[in-house]
Amino acid sequence: MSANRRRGEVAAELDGKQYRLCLTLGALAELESAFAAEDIGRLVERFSSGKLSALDMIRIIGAGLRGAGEPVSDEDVGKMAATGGAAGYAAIVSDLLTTTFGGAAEDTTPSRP
Amino acid sequence: MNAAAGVTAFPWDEVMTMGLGLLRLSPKEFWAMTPIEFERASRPFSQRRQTAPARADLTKLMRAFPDQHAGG
Repeated sequence: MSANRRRGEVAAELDGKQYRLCLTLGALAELESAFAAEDIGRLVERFSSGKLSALDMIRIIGAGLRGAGEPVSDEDVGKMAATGGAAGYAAIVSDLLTTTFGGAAEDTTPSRP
Repeated sequence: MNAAAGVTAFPWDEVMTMGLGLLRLSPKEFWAMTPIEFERASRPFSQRRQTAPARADLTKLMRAFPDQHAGG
């Protein structure tokens, strides 16, 4: 299963299975509800400064999986093992956030001299 | 992670108005889009993307279309 990065999808391995994740507008709205007091910008900032808990990351990965059409609950995600444990979770979250928000800023057109 | 560090509060009001009101997407289509897809879809209608003409462009236009002085 390959990910369409142009769209903002990422591939990740959980429990030895390949999954696709993507933060759709619906997934982002859902995340904001889950983190009632914070908007997405704050969440990304908190991740950048390494202040996301394991539970926070599970929520983000859950939203990404559901956004790509995988019917999983956060509880299910919590039971999934990422390669490399907590660091593996963080790598997935990092990839997902960067692809979702950083991808829009990527300019693939060759720059003119 | 610095690529995502510049993210500000997500402008839900504008995005929903653009997507549902101007682009006429169905809610189902709209909520299934990624921010990248949405940005690309709305780009042709986005006011913020239009930059003012630069001085060089104006000079070029003025040379190409000089003012007509009647009776000159």
